[in-house]
Amino acid sequence: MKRFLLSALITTLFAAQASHGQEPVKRSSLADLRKSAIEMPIKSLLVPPQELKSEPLSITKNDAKKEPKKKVRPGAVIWYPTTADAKRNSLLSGKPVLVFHLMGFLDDRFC
Amino acid sequence: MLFSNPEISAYINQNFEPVWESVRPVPTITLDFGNGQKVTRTLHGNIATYVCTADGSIIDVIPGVYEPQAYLRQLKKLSEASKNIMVQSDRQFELIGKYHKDELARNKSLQKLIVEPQTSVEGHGKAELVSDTSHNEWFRRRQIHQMLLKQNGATPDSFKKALYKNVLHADLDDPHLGLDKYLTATYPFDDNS
Repeated sequence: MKRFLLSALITTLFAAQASHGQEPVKRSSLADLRKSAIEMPIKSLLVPPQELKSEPLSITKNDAKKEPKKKVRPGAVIWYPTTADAKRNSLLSGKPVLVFHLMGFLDDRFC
Repeated sequence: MLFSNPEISAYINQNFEPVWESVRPVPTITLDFGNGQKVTRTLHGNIATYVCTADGSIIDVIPGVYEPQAYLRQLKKLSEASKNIMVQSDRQFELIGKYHKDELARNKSLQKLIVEPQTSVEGHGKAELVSDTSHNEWFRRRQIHQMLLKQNGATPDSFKKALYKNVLHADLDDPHLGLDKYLTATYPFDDNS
């Protein structure tokens, strides 16, 4: 009787320990698992090309870091500040107006 | 830089009422070598020099980059032409129209004879500058004369988009200036914004 009670106690203790920790691994079924059950297919691990985002090739408005431009002297020409000023003076002097168009600013380092 | 040239700047100061205007920010490209070394250059900075009457009507345009002596020659020629037009302000548009017709005829007759302009630039980039000058003078100028014959009385402000798009091949309405197809032709992703 004592031997039976001892055996029952040990069985109960093992059962309690198993339910407290991780779910017990069923060894009998582990041998039958296929690789696909424990590893995701490679295709599903990769992000589809259409959803792939990378560093944009060109600088956009949002990520452009504005650095202060280095100012340079815009040549030795004495420029009027506005076209209206140049036209007003052209009326008086009879000289034609020279309008120089450019991308950027003539007094920037890169213009 | 043309306007640092003493001869050119003195001529402009003496014979014109000069002003400069920006048509848009200049695009730049930075090459990052990955070791802290970076090189930044402008990418597409086309320029245009308009010569106008006192009311702002365009007489003619010098498009793009010229080698200094060729630029000075054009300035001198335009200064003379402008004086003749501006002293007869009541016939201004008629004279501007005649000027463009005459220039078109001259351009056509001389084009076969001209190989390249006289050069005055030494060093790196000389060949490209001479080539640009020649192209500007014999092809772009002809386009401009044709455009201004149809738009007599245009001002730099009203003419600039057509000039940049059709002559200088930089569409001011396009945020990428029409360059994106070249820059991203071999880029494999979809996010070329």
